[in-house]
Amino acid sequence: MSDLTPETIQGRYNGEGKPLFWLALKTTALTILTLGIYRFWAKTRIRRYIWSATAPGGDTFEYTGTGVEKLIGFLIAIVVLAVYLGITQVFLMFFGFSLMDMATGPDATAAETLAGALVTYITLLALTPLIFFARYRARRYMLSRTRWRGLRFAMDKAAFQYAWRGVLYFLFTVISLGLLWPLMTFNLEKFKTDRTWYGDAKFEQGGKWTMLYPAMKHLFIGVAIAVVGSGIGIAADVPVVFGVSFFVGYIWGAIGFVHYRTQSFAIMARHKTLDGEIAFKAAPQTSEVVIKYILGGLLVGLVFAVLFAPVVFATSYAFSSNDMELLIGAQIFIILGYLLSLILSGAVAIAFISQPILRHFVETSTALNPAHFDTIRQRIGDDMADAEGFADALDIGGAF
Amino acid sequence: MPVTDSPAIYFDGHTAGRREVLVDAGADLHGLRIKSVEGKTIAVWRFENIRLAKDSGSRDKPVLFRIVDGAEERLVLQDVEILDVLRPLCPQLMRTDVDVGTYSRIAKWGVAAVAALGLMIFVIIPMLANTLAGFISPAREAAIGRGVINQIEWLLNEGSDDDWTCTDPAGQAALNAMMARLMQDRKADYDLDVRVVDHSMVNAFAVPGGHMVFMHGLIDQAETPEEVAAVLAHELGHVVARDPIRMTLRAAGTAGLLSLAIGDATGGTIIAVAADQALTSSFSREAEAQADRFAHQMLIDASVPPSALSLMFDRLRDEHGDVEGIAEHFASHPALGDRIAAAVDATPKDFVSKPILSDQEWADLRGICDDN
Repeated sequence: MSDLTPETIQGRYNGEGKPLFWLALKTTALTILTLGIYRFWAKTRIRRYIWSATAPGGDTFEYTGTGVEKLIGFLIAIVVLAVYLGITQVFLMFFGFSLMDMATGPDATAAETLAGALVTYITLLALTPLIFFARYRARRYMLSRTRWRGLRFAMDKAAFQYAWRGVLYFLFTVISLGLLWPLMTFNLEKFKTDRTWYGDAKFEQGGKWTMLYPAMKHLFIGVAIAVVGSGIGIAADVPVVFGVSFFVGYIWGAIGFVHYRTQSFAIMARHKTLDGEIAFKAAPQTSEVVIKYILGGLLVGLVFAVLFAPVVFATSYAFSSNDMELLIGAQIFIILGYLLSLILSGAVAIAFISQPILRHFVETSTALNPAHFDTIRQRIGDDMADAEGFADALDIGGAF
Repeated sequence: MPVTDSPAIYFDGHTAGRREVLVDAGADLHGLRIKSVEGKTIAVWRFENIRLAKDSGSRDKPVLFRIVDGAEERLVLQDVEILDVLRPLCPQLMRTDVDVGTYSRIAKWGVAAVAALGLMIFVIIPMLANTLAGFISPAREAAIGRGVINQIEWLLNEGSDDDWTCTDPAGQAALNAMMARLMQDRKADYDLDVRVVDHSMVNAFAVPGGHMVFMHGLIDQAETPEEVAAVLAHELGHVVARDPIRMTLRAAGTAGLLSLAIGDATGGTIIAVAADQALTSSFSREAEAQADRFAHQMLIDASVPPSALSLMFDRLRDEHGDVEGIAEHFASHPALGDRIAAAVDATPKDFVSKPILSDQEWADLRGICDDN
């Protein structure tokens, strides 16, 4: 191939829609039939496919994680989380009730209602650091089970440090109404990259956080259209202006969000180095990603509609007939239809949304100075008994 | 048919360097021979140790590895047809190797996970909730209760701005008189507040801080004031036991613990919700039974036959049916049939009852919402 000059290796993706779709369909069905237990194996098998389809320079990645270790990791996480969450939630609720004392004066009733509602959400506080903690450990686990050309990846132990930084940057982002989002994106990614290894070679994240602002351009434009346009609409009392500018701003902002995610990834990838010798190029196109979302989304919608049309029809017939047996039958039909469409649309989404997007990212990535790979040596394995159990228990994680 | 000089890529497991090699395999050899392009042997892999990487996303480039301590090499076949030769030679090509002791580790951690969940849900969280409830001052608890009532009003009154509390003074006086007669010289931790709200639902409930709410539908359905008094006695049982605040704290702790264990984005969610429902109701059914027993005694002391409670339940059963069998475990109240029997049993023979309200007072109470 012409792009395979000796100075670079180009990302290549060998996966196809059909085999991944069948694999996802089969593993999701098994997951439901086993009441969720098979999900650890399902995830493992999907990752094996994706990893081995990704081939920089023609050499495939390999995923060596197992379903068994994920199950054990999940059980370990349950032991820890049951104790942590059970106790913190009761205490947070108790301290939340203390807020009630602040509700005094003439507006006491309104304040009490508000405080009462706040108390309901305060228990979520215990989860926030845990989510960052789990994310870091999940990434560390994933890297430790990833090989390329026979060599392991790894990430240093630092989930606690990552968790408090994550909470801090998250607060900054919320307080600044999103203006400091690049600070969070960059510093958290740098924290992880600087602790990532390939064999005995260390990754490093260069650049600085302000370089991500250009990637936020369309997000800003979207918000500006929505705010200014609907402001004018309200001031001039023209509902059409309000509606149109809000809608346009919303769509623009949604695409701007995808643009930020895509381009901030690319900018940071271009500033990463391995062992100080190997550099990277990344040139994903936001338009390609958006188109793949839309096309894949339409396909999922179509599958859903085709499956659900008979369900809706049969159910409305049963309800109009007022026949008790028919109604029970309809309920079973709804549950089956729901599960079936869940399985199908999930499989379609993985094979025809996530995979094409991943393909685009892989194929637009390049590593420079690959000759240096020959000098990189193996590292010893990272055992990690809890695998990614915390992320599994909290049900967080990416597409794969 | 033996294979000779088939091209492959070899990674030695020590460095990231890639090496082009040739591979020989056949029934007369005891293993797969990996040679340099010049023909020098690099390694021989015994057939029984060879495994194929499964679920490959690059089907034309199968990856082989071997199960030998310390060996981390990878061999990528460039000719996929060699697999057909290897399959009969390598009996364990597709085997999944499980480490020794894996199953006992699963069993060990499985037991630990169930034990941790059980210990938290049935011992530690209830204990913690009971202890912390003791630290909440009656004034704060009353404020919490007002917040809860406001939230319920917002939910049930469909966001209507009209105050839904019924305010007729004579009706309220009758209700207070009924409560005073039931309480006699019993003491509660806080100022008791009982009110009727303008809603057609046949229901009554106690919230934290000594607040009790009767839906007007319940008073409409009752044929005698004694039936209302019986329900009030039951709610007073909850209030005296501080059930509402303890339940709230306990629910905060257990909420989510079960979905943690079962929940995922698929069918597990349905199971988690059902299990959570079964669990919280088993707590509250215990509390309900206790409040019933409290009410029986309170009614006897006030010269009201406890069987009045059973009349109210009878009416509920006629209207809503009863829960029995499996459904009983998911209901937050014990089966009505059992409660009716208990209330009847609690009524002594030759019981001398006194009316709880005068006819005028009863008329006032029934009309408490007339101004709304």
